[in-house]
Amino acid sequence: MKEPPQSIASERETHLLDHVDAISNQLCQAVEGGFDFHVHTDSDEIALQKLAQLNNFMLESVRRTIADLETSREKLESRVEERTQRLNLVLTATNDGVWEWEIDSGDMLLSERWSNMLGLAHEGENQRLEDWLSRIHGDDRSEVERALYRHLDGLTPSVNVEYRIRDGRGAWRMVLCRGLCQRDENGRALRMAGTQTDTTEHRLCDPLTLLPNGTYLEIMLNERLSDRRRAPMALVKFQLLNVASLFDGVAVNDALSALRRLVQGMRRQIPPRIPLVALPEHTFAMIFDSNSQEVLEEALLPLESLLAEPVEIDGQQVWLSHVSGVAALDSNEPITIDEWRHRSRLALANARLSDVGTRRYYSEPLRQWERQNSRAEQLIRGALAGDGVRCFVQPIVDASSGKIQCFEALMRLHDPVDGIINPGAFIDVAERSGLIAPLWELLMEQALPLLKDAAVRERYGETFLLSVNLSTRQLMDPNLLDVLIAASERHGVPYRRLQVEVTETSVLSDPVKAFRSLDRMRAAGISVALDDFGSGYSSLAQLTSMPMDTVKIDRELVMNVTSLPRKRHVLAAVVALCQRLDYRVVVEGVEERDTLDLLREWDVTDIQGYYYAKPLPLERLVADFPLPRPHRRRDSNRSAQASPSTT
Amino acid sequence: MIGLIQRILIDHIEEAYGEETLAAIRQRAGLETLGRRIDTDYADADTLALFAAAGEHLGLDHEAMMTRYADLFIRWTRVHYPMFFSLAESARAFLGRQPRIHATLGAGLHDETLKARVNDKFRVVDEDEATLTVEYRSDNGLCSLYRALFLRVLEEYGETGEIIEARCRHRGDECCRFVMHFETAPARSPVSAGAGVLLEAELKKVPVTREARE
Repeated sequence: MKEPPQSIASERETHLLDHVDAISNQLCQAVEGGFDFHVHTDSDEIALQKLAQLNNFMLESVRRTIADLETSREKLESRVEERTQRLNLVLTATNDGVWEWEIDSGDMLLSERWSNMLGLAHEGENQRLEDWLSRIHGDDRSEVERALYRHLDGLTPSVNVEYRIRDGRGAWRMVLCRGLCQRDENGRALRMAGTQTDTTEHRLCDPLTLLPNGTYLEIMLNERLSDRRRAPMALVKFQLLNVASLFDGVAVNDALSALRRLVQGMRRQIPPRIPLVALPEHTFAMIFDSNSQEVLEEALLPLESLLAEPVEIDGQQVWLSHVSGVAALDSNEPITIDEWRHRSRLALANARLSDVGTRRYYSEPLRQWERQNSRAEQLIRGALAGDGVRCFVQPIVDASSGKIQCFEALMRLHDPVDGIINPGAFIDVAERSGLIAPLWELLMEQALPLLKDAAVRERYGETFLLSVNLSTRQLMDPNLLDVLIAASERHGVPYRRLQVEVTETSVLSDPVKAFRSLDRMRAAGISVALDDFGSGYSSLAQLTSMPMDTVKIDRELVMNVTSLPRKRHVLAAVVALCQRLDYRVVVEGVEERDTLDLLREWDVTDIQGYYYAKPLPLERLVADFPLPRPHRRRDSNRSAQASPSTT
Repeated sequence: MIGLIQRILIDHIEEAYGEETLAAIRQRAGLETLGRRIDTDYADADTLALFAAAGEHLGLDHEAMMTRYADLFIRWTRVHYPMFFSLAESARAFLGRQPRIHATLGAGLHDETLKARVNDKFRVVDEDEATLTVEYRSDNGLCSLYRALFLRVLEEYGETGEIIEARCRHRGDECCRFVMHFETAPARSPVSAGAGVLLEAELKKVPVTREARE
């Protein structure tokens, strides 16, 4: 536009234009984005003053808007900061790491905490998905990938997968990965992000002992067996047999502390690089890099020495019993994890049948033993299913009068092929497998009616006891007394005519609990007999402390007693001790008249053994076992006599 | 006080009564000069003195003077700031926007303290379709001017209503509070005629009806 010549513009117009121009020039300051200035005019014209005024209003509005935006931004930043701090707090508290996966670029962002929890140097964003996956255990990797891609494809609402990942020290950690995909408006995945939670303690630690658990052992076994240059190795399992003793009569927390102290002590006794793993039933496992029995002996000796010491708890000392099983491997011996574990389990199970402290090495004969066990279990299950439990009875005779003091109920199983099977072939398996309980119930169902059988009463009177054997498991059952009373009442027989027989081994597995159970039975009027006294390791201490009425001296002490003077002295001493302690004494395994004569000289009255009767089928008792005659002392030449029951 | 306030009065006296009257009033007010810039802040005391001198010279008491001035104010602003009226469809809308207009005029002040004082003078504390509550905080105590302006604005928009001064600095309250009720549906645009018809109306509490105006 062409401006009018200066000369023809009026003075007022020129004045106005100058002022408008001055205002415009001032407004140029806004070009730099700054609005903190003031527009001024010297003009007296209201319009120009208004123009300046309203410009100032506009500037003020802009400043206010900017200030408001700044305030909002600060508030938002403050909220973001606060929320970030809260999120960080949560992530720190939960030990969670954060991961982000940019789908298009494939870049991974792993948070510092993610790296820290694995003991890795933090590499920030310079990672790929493959870097992450490569750390994951080979058996878990495909599952993790599948979880990620299934969610990426929209098949799952989120990622939720747990896996093992190798940490910076080369050990395995268990982690839980959770994540979500962020998608655009078309559902196209932009990125995936989530957390990684360390669940190692939860998944790989035994909560009782705080040691690595069975899952951890499985990882180790896998690793060892997958090593191509595998050296000889041995899987060693220790089992503490009576840990329950620690918990008797003391606060649970004290017992737990004592157990954890013991476990920590055990850990110190084995080489530092060998993890001590806690398994169920107070069993501990280790993997040694040797299959030499000498090396293992040397390595395990400190541990066994520690376990031979009593555990201090609440001012008292508790001795723990243990056994161990070892499954050694040659280098590169082809074997699966399951087989390796099975061998160690077999060795340990076999060790449990022996004396405490036994260490059993796996060998092929254990397979045969296992097969026998398996056969025994099949036999038991067959008997339970097919009415194969048989009750036999053997009398205990008062030799002085010929009266029957007691009938001991003995269990036999009937096999369709092999006929009657003695307890030696199945009782251990029945005990270990827990099948002893149903077997015992069936036995009692047959035995209890003996107490009210008319022919039996007529022949043997109404005062004899019915004696039944209890397994360790039954002895520890707090409901045992109730079960006995209920069974007696169901058959209409007095439970006071019952006697229970327990072995020292059973009692010693948990003496406190066993004594409590026996006390209750004696208080109810049921007699208690210590069975097989003198077999294996017998403790004279038990004779003074155990709540019982009768001691049954094992046939081990009786056999050949007439021909072996030293044995005779031992038996005489045991009998005298029991009599001095006012226990009824039953001598088992008496087969000959000479033995009976000897026992009668020592005033032993109650005799059990083939001399009077073998165990008899219940239904044959009255027919096959007449009342014996009272024993009469013979002349000094002690000539042999026939059994009284056959004369 | 923003120069616009006294500029309106000065222009009116000069136009209606001549320069001599204006000079007499200036002298009566004890002022050496009269500031005429609308974008400049002048001393409150000077402005108040000018108002007082004008009232005395024209024989108007304070309330009458305020009523007169309210009319002048509306007329003047209607000429120079017509957009403020166009923006508001009703008296309630106009008065509801008044604190912001006041602050707008205050935006012309360069001094931040003065500007803050202007900005904080009026504040809408409650409003709905038929009611508006405004607080006024000023040592100048020109609540009578506000009441007069309320009536004049109603008239401008052809509406009726009522103003109650629930609180007043003159009664010892910390501020003046005007509770305004609008009884007539808003007109589409403010009326321009009839200004000054009700200038003599009672000002303290003034129900104004269309009938009264007619």
